[in-house]
Amino acid sequence: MVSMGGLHALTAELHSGFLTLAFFCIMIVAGAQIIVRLRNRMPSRLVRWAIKVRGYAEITSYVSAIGGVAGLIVSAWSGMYAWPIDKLFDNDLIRNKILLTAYATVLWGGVVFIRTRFGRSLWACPAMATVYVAMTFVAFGMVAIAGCLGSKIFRDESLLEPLYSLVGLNVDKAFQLDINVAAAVALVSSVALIGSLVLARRKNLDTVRFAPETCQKTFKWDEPAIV
Amino acid sequence: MALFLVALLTAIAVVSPTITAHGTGDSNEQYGCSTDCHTVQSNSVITMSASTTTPTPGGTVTVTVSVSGGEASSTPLGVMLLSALSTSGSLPSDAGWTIVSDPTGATAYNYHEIELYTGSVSWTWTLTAPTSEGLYTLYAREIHGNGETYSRNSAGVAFVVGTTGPPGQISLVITSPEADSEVSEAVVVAASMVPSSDILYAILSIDGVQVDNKTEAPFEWTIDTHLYADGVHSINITATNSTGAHGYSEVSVTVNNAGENQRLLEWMWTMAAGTILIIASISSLIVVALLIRKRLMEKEGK
Repeated sequence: MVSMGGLHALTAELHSGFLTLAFFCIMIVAGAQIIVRLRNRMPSRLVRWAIKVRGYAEITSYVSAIGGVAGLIVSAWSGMYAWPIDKLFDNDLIRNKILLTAYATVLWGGVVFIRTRFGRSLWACPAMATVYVAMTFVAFGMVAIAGCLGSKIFRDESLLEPLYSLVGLNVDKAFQLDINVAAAVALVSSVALIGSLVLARRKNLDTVRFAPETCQKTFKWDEPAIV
Repeated sequence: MALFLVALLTAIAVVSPTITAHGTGDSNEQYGCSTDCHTVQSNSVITMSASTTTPTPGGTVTVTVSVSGGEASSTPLGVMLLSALSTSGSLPSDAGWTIVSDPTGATAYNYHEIELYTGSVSWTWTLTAPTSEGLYTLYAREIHGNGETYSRNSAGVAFVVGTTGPPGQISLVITSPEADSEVSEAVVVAASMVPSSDILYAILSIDGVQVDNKTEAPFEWTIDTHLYADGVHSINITATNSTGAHGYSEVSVTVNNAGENQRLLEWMWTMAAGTILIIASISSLIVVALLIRKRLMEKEGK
């Protein structure tokens, strides 16, 4: 019989590791892309190194992001069974951890979706690459805070305590909105979501395929392929 | 890079606001001096123990107060020892106690404070008991800041000074829940008794209706407050020992499960709204990126 507490600890470690690897690999690819784009002003050795590294880092980031999202989902599922359900919702700190984990899962899901939908050619389109990198930043920040809340729950301390004090964030109090405000946010967000999907359909953006011949030529950013 | 990180962390540590829990350092403080601002219930755990609960008049008693958890990590935290939970007349000396030494060992104040709380403390006061025989209670109250002005009272410790208990009587104190507190979900009802030996039975009643009858320690019950309507309820415990002595204590509490349910509902709405917001943001950003790409490519084509 597998202990849910043990499985939760294992998957928590797993998703932390995977997502940290994904984050650093995406940042490495972003850095390498900039170096390669500015190749005329960069030392040739650095450019050669960037061309070589970005290919491996790119595919590693994709695989580890998928592993991290899977780990996050299993970790959330096992966490629900590792402790009595009423204890989970009794504590504001645990509620905050659940909330941030849910948000982080959606954000990392978005990262994986973009990479799956547009392939590695997304790096040849600066606008999409910017969205991808920015989303990775936010997703990693969210998962880092959720992880630090876990440390605060079990050890009553975490690395981010000075940051919480600095920005005046009280993680011991549940992050929650008034129901009317939350409903308004949900409504406006739903309208924005539907609006963006309608716009994408009308402008034929839903059928767009990224490929070197369409992006690379226009923007002069090439794909991070393994060479 | 490493130097930058060290500098950044040092800067964060230096500019972090210091939130003073009480702000007076070690001193003699009444219960009332902190009740106007430290109004938010902390989630810390505060417990009290005593070297004896039946001291002789003027005898020495060591009281240990332990605090763990809570919101005060790396910020100040203070604990006061009190003889009553009332705005005045709450110093131990008001009830006849004399503090011989406080946790510093050098002074004799009822309030002790540290600047940097690291998750748990255990502090000891040495006192001499009142010279008049009778039943006395001491309480501890911890206060701290860190975002809100938090506080939490301990359950009281009952002392019988001078005898092994008033003849024909059990001194009984309901140590949990606190009198006049607000409760929700599951609540632990606990009682301490002096003398605590040879208790034949202790009956727990809520609103005058017997809930349970225990014949041996610990005299603790876990009550599901959902069984009671929101509002004020009385909890009383009656005990009898083998000598025929009786004890009785009653507290009133306010059940507020609707408030807790409302908070849970708000939290779930926040989760749903946040999730939809994130999905909408991702979707919108992708569409914006594709529109920028399309426009640039069309410009290039022309």
